[in-house]
Amino acid sequence: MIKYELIKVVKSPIFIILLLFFVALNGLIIFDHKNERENLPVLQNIVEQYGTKIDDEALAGMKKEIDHEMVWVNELNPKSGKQYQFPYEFIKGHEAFLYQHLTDRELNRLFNLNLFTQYYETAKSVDDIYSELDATEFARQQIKKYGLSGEAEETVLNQANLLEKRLQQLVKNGEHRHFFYLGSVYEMHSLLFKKLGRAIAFEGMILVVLITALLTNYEFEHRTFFVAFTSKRGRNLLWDKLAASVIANVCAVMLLIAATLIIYFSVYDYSNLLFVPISSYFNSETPFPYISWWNLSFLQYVCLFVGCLLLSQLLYMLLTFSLSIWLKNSYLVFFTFALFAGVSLWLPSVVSLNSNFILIMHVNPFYLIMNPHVWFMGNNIFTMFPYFEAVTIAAWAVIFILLGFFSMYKFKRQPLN
Amino acid sequence: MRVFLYELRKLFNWKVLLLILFISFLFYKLFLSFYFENFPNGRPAKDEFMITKEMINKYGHEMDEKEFQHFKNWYKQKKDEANAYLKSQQDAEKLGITTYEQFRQLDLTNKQYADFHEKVVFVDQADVFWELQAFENIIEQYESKGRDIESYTDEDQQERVKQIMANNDVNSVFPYLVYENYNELTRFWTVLIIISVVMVTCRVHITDRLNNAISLQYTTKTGRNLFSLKLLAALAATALITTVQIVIFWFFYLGNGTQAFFPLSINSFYNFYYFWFDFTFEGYIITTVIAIYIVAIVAALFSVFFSRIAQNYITLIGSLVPIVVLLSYCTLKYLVGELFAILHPLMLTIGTFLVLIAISTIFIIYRMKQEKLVDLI
Repeated sequence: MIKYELIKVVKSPIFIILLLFFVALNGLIIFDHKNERENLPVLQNIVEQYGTKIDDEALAGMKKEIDHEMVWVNELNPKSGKQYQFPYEFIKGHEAFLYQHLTDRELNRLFNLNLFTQYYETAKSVDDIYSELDATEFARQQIKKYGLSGEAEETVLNQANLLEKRLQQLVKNGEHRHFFYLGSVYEMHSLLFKKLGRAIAFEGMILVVLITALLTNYEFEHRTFFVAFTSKRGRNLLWDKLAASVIANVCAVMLLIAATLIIYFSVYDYSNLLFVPISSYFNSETPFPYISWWNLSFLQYVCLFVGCLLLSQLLYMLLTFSLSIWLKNSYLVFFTFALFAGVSLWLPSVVSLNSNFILIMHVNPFYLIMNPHVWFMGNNIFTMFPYFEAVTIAAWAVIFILLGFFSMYKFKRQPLN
Repeated sequence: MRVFLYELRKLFNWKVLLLILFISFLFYKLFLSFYFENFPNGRPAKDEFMITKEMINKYGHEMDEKEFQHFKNWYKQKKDEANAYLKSQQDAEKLGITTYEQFRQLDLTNKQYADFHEKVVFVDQADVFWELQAFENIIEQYESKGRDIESYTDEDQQERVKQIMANNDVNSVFPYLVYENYNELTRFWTVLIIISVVMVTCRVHITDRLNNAISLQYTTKTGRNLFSLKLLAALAATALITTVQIVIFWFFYLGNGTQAFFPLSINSFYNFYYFWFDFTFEGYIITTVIAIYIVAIVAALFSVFFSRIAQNYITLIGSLVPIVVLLSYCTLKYLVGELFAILHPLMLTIGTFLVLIAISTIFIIYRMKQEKLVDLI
């Protein structure tokens, strides 16, 4: 039976069209601002030469390279008569000179050296920055920003203590001392996990709702329900439909994710950086760096990210399944689903900010996909729990499964017309 | 006529209307209410808003050089007020701050100074200091008008900026924050209009197909002309929904109290950027409303077309998703938001409108011809 249900999906060309459309959209997101990221190879060179770990040896080597290159820089303008130590000092004193007297190749070399120095200086300053980092202070600022108080404030501060402990452990492991694309300049983490992550989540949501609604409502919309539900398999046919939905949805979502990631990683080279911890200081984009709750490498993080995306899509499938049983009309299902999503995103903003209830309101499957870039991290005070994602998915899976059983129970006792 | 009314009534199914109502409410809460509740957004925006309003009372719609001198004097008076305030503060005396100039150039990395600065500006909320900031912004913008010409790379753009500079309109005291507020609101509201229009009009043919009513309908006297009647009903529904949404929008928007700025030119020294045409704010609003109707009708035409083609709701919604996404994207970027702003080439905006209208009309006319010939079974 499942096979025949799957054929219904395969025979609808609209899903392939939508999939292509979404991949094209994601491609646009990936290529957007690509010219601002053309200096990424500078880091590749650093990593090839010195490895990803920042140690004294690497720092000394980098300094030596800078000194070596500075000899060349200081010869660029013999008239100035000054000896510069770092390229940015030279650039600062010669703004007009640069574009008038240097060839494009020289300019390029100079700016690459400048970027190289930026990596060097950042690497040197990492220890100082982390010795001054204070998770509690970060939490306090955020609490003030969002206006939390009372019980909620207490809970968040408790969680901040946990984060503080994790921060100390992170420093001990040396997770922060790794080279990665400079987050403050390129914002690669936001591009991949926030922009693309959110886009994939919403695109996947549309695909999942349409596929599940197509299968579950098929007999009603094609007026075959008297035939289908009076057969021996009867109303249990819906279980086959659900099984087929799982297969079709996993395939569709995985195709979407895979195509997007393949484009992303062929445009931006991560081959040397796969095992760099995601909490590396270089990855950070704000004053408070990303801190994952466990020691995760970039590759592990991507895997968890994909897993979490996929599971959240299965939650949407379960909700759509129940909605379809009740509404029996794909149009109503699609927009009612949108309504559920809207309400879930809106409700947290009306709850009072002084009780734990506000934090509980954020445990919902639609809020989950709004901030995929801080999954498994302590950087958002509303989700500052190590197992936030797991708990959200598990809790709502239970709720939606119960809802599914209840809907089936009712459906089996319904008159069909 | 009777059939037309029946079709129209069928479109406004109560379940659909209820869904649109809820979705509009959520859309309002998630994307729009911020720009109503927080206008003007914080300080010194609030002060700039009040001061520009007063400027209209004092100077009229434009501020010429002579009035600008008066404005500078006004600024000096405010400065004296600030000095008087500083003299009255004991903390200021302790820190040796006696004049506003000193206060402005305080080294905020110094903890003592920073604390005092924060106390005055954020805790006491001494109005005059925010007002002075607003004055400074206006003076700076007025003195540097036209200097941003170099940031435009295109010759047409530079030509247009020169043209505006030669015109008295540039002295208009129209502030960027009124424009920004209207722009954000209207572009997001248009997305809501697109969604509502598509939700209503996409049902026009498909409900009959799903009820197997087509073979019945097409053998009646109206017959294959039903397509045209349904098209008219869908367009009437579009006009109705768009109008209702715009009326509701204005019901909220008038609460922002920007009426005083309606007759001012928006090509002002105090706006973010210039526009390709000499708009007053009123004129600009009317232009955006026309643009909204065009976008809504284009959305409706596509939606009617696919409603006839699609075999079931899934195919219908699936094919409308890319259209709504692309149309919303263009709307947010330059079809309604930042409409005719100098940032976007004039031909791009007009070209997109023409292409959209052309494609949607061709789709519909093609289908109309097909209707005469198509097999029903």
